[in-house]
Amino acid sequence: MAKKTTTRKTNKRMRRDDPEREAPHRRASSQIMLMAKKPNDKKTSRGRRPGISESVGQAISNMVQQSASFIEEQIDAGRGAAERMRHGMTNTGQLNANINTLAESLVTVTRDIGVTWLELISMIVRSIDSQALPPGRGGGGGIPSPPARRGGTVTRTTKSGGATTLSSFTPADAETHGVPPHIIVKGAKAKHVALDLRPTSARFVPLVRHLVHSDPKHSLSAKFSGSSDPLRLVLLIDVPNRQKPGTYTGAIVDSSTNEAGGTISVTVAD
Amino acid sequence: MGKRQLGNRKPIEVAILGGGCASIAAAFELTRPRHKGAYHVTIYQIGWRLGGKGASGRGPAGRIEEHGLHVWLGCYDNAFLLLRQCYDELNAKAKAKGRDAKKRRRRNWDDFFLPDSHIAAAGTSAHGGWINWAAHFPPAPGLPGDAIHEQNPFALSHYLARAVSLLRTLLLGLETFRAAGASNASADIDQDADTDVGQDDPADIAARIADLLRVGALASAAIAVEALALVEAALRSIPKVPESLLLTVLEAIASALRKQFEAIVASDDHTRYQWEVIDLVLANLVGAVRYKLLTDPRGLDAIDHLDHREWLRENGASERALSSPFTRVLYDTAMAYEGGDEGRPAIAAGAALRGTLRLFFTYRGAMLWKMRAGMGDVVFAPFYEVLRARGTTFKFFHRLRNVRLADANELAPGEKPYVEALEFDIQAETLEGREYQPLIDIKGLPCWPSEPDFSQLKGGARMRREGRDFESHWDRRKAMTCELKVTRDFDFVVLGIGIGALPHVCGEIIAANARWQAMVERVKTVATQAFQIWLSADLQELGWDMPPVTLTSFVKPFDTWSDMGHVVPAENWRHPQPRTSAYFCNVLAEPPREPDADDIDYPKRRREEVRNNAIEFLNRDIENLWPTAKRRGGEFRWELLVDPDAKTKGGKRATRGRFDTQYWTANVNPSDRYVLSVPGSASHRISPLDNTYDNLTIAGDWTDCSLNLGCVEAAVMSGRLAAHAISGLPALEDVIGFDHP
Repeated sequence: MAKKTTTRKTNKRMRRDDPEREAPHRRASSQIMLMAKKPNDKKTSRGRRPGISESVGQAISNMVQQSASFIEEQIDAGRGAAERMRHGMTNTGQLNANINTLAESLVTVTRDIGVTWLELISMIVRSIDSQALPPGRGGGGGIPSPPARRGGTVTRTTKSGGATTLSSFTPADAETHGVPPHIIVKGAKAKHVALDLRPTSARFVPLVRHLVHSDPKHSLSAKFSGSSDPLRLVLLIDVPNRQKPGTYTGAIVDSSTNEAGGTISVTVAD
Repeated sequence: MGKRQLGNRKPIEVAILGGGCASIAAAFELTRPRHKGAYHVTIYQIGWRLGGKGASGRGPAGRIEEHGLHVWLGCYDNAFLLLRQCYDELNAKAKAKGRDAKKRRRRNWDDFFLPDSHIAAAGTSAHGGWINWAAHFPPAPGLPGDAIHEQNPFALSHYLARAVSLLRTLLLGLETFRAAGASNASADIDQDADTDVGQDDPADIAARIADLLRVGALASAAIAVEALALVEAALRSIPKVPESLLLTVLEAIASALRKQFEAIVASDDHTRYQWEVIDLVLANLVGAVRYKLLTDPRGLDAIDHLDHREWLRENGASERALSSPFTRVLYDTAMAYEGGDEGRPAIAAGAALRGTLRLFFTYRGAMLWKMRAGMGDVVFAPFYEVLRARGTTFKFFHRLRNVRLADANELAPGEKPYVEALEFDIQAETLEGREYQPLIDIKGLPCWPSEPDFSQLKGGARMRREGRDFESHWDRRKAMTCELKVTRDFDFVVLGIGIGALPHVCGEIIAANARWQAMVERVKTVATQAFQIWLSADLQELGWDMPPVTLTSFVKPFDTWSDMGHVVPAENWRHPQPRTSAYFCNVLAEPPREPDADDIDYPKRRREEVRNNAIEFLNRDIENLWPTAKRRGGEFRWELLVDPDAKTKGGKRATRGRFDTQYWTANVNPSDRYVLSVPGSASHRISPLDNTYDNLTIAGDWTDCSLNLGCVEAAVMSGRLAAHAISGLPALEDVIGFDHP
């Protein structure tokens, strides 16, 4: 801005002030930060400004939703094209095995890309969510013991939600080093959790379905999640207060190939 | 910044040098009512008309004569904002004065802008000949210049959301039209998709199945990949994401797709071009992740040292995609050829990507907005009227000769260097010292004429006989000189003259300041050429079977064409009235030797060169656009050209001499040269906010204005920044798009 220091009657001239800045803000991620700081954001209807991670998380959630539906449309489009093609061949009585196989593989590739992408995004979103959690929110814990090594297997014992947890990781080969997943238990009835993760390859993405009681009518839910440390997974186990006592077990499989890669067991007290 | 207390003090005098978009924008900002008259602006303009590179005139039959093709883009937020405010103020003043309501309606901004959703690119066919690709870009909500909503359109999430929509548009909206005579090998896939295949020939069935496979697979797999990559790129803003994993996945997918589909697309034009679009998008996305553009504090500046093609190539784009019309479009529309040499394409990758993002993802209304009259009529005349009503003084026929610095030895301790004086040649004086009236009336519209009104000038008749070219750098004839002194005549200077002229007028600054020296050396410009023709046949009669378009990436020396039939009604033709008009433009190669400072005939020689180029183009190449515009095996049908003096009657066979009744121009004046964004030049631009000389700021599309491309929007942004440098307003946050990756 201009400074006018005197009237025109003197010979003192006018000068510009130095500007607050000369350069534009170029960092793309700053745009999301700036959006989070805007006071008229809808999230601040209660007068609270959203945290940066919340805005980022929301932005990603929005993109996930938008892109997920888009991916779904495209997968359907590809599937539809392949179906039309097969229908055409059936009508003519001709079977072109090569084209048929190619169509199948293309639909599979498209689906796999979409699924992989969605899982990747889910991991990242969980990573952001878990960053917002204060330490020990899983129901207690205590200071975890340093991981013990036995040959190629690394184990780690700690406590969470009243349960003693034992987490071990055995890599596919001696050259690979891994970190046992962190175990977070919700609920006071769990007494003991044992996780034995033995991935069959470096591309193993663990998935656990239900943990089942000896009475198959009863099961527990468990899932793997990302964490603030990209090299470490988190196993989340939710034990409701009315859960039937006993031992629940389940297999860990690879999310895409369904290959077995470990076990989980949870002991629920009376 | 604080409020100003003027009391009885005189306003601050601001001398604005040049009358182009940047200067006008600076003047408009400084004279806003909110400043309460704190600034008095004087605009010093060479010749008789405002506009700079955007100037236009009216010639015979009131026809519009432009420097080239001026199309505004729907992403020109700053330019449209100011223009709309100008028209609002113009109409408010007219209403206050009680002018005729009907006339008031004619001065609404949207009366003069025509939305255009079609862009075309010319490419070669695998089967020989040319293909003209036309893409329809659907209207976007709002109008350019509307207030920016709560959601920042320059935010990453917005770009990403629209990127997915864009790719769908490009893939599904591309239409192929073949030039006459070329084969028509590609199938219309959409039409065949639901055909009952039961009774057809097996070979035809197989071909249709193969087409479905290609389109379906390409569309689903490639768009899925693109969506994947876009979200991954977005996630770069989040810390602790395994970057190597994301990049590896992305590159593996892109590589697999390229290998899988390269062989399929080679022989089919339609699919080939679709794949080239996808290929280019993928390369941009891989590059965004690999170069960490979303977390780099430099943003897209981080890749400005690379040429756009070079950057795409590094990130996996195929050579065919790099040579495709979709890549050439960028270079051609940006005139990005160093020295005007077709063999030296050059545009900085960061600037190119920034401009592309804004063009495709932030346009409102239509992607293109064509003016219904000359740019001088639609833009500079209203601004002239509004500024004059606000009290701005206009000094026409003032050629800047030198910007003189104060003696460095006489600066007080701690005092910054400053501009001490401005030296001018006054090219002509008006009779009795009256204010020069620059506008003429064409069908009720205030316009700029193509030559000055000599009747207002002392010795005007003589000057006309002498052929005075007031806008020529090489015509140095003058009536007198004048010198303006700091404090006595001005307080601040806005240097809004084109960078090509700076070595001739800012020699002292350049000699004393290494940054200025680097700027004038590294920020390049290029001369341009253009011609306009008025035709007695419309496009359909000429054989063009697409909508009226703006087409580029055609042959040199005129690779860009725009149908401008919509401006003919604004002209003042007698019978016969043209059915349409066409504008062509491109770069103009540098001469073998730079002309001498007093080579007064240099512009005339270059104009003759452009004339010859145009005639050759019409004879040789125009049939690829207008198949019926040439005689069979012969020349262009010169009788199609409408003579404004109506000396010749239509229908009779004419010779190439008829071309001399049309309009063409060689834009060789240093200040008229088009600004380029060559690799490595952006870092040498200087910002209008720079305060090295504390009573001087600069304005123009050659400055560091954030957009850093040669265009109207960059010039207006720069002008607004120059105003901020002097007055603190507009706030930097209000210069739309200033903060941008």
